[in-house]
Amino acid sequence: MRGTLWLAWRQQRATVLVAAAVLAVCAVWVAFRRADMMAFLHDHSLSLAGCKGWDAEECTTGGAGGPELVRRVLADNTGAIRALGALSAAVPVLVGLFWGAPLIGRELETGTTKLALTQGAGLRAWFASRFALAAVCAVTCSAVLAALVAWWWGPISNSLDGLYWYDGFIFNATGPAAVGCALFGLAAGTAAGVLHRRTLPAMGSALAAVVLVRLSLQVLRPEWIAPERRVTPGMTPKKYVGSAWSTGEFGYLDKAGREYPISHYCQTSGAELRRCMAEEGFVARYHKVRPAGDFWILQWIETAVFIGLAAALIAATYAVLRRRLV
Amino acid sequence: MMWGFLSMEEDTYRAASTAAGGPALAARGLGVRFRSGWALEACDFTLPTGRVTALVGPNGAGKSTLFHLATGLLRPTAGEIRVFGADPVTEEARRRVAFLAQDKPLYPRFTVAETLRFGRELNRSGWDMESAERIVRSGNIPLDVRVGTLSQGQCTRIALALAFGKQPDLLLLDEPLADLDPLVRREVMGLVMAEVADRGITVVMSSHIVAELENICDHLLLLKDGAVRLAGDAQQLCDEHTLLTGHVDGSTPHGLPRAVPAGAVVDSAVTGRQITALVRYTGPVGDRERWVGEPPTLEELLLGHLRSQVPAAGDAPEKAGAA
Repeated sequence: MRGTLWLAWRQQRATVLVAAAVLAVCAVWVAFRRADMMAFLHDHSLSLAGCKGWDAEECTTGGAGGPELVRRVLADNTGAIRALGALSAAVPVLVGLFWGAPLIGRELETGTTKLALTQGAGLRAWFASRFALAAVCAVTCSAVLAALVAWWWGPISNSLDGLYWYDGFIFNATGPAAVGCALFGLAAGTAAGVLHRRTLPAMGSALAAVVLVRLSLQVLRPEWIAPERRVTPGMTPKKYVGSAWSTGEFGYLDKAGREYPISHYCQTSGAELRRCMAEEGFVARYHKVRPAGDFWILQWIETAVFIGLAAALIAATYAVLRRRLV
Repeated sequence: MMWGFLSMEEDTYRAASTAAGGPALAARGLGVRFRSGWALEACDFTLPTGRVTALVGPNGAGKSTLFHLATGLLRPTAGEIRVFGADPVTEEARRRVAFLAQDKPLYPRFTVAETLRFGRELNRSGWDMESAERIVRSGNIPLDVRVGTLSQGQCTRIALALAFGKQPDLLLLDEPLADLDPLVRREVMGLVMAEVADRGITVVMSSHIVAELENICDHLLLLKDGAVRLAGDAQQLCDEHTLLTGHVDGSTPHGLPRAVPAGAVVDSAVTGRQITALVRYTGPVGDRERWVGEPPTLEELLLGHLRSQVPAAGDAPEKAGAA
């Protein structure tokens, strides 16, 4: 390695090595745990194809004891996957605090910007090298962890009482949004370091920024796209929710197709329900859900938000540095 | 293009600063404003090449700010500063300038060898590893120890090795001797002066300890309250001033001989009936029995201007002195 990249590597190598070690441990652990899980499924000839959804009645795989065995697999793995998901979801915060905040904040704090930026290499090369190295590492870390979560969770995804795609431990821990969020965490930490010119307060700001944006997106998540309305005519029992994400909106439709939420109408069942529906003139029932396919749409929306914020923060950081490096 | 109406002056200015004999450092209308106010305002000066300039001023006068502007670490709010005719943030300027910051920042976790490698890696267009290593070795500093374990004097030596390894044409030293004991001071100054003699580079050195500049500097730039108070050749400036001592003359408002113009008085102190004054005036003072006039030493000149309550008079005294 040469030039400013050598400097970036020399200063970040300890962090890179620690991150690589943590990733390696995680990968080995996941490989073993997943192999166990797959062996169990194979040994008992369990297929989870019919077990999607907490109300999956077709979950009759592997004979009489099948559903029980599936529940056992889920019980054995869900906690551990959730822990891995928590680590993966925490990557942006860790990156922001321990990689982004000191990336330039510590240099400004100790005055070494005055040393590094009065050499032949200029601000652009110095900034590009150090941010690019950190970004590549942050993206790699989060991508590897996101892939590990997806790899382990995939075979038992969206099944019975297991983990679903819309669960925070899954949605925030896998997919492109997890990688985008790590990049945002790095950018937020870097920007905070330049803003505060000290590492410790920058860490606080980075933590606040990442948590705030994550929570906002969590709250906004149901708002991006309209849910799908599943309609079943007359008294036909409603379709199983399966791996879809229920919005909790149930109700009835009249001939004109107007919606009548269940919170206000016919909170009953059986013969009484038939009578109530007839009285009110309801001809069908509806249930609003977000199908599992929405996972990717929502993931790309959040990825775009994270990358956009990261780009804006980095541009602003560079503009500030160009004016003042001491 | 912004300076269109000044274009002729602009061209002359550029030609002067890029030519071989042009100034090493030139400022025009230079100003920096921080949130607390103007740190430097409307500074105009040129520093010739091949000289050792003392940048003098009380704490907070703007000495470090000026260095930061000259190295491109800080961008001016007003005016401009040029290093050998180039903007400080250009590669050309960065290559020709070495800067030793006041706190002598180094990477404490790097070994000495890695610190020198840092110099080589970040100065790929020109790096003299031999000189850098020679400076380190002559201080008996092993190459494999961490910089964080070195003493202050040793750190200064490493920082100087980095500065000289760069083979600069202009060396900027911000309080290089602060925090060093007298023995190390002498050693460090010896190092700087040897390199200066070897390569004939231009040096600008700031200090608020006036005495240590006396034998080193041949050019002066005195900053006070963010403005240039005095600039020029050290000897010439001393020659333009007179240190007057005598009995207070009750018949004049300044207590000095009538021949001394009021505007020429830089600083005066009365003890009992005796008055000592630094004046920017070299003409006759009249009664030779009552008044002793002699050129001030560099230290007396600097202290007089640093103490002075009179606002800087710009170019006027220079003309008075020349008359």
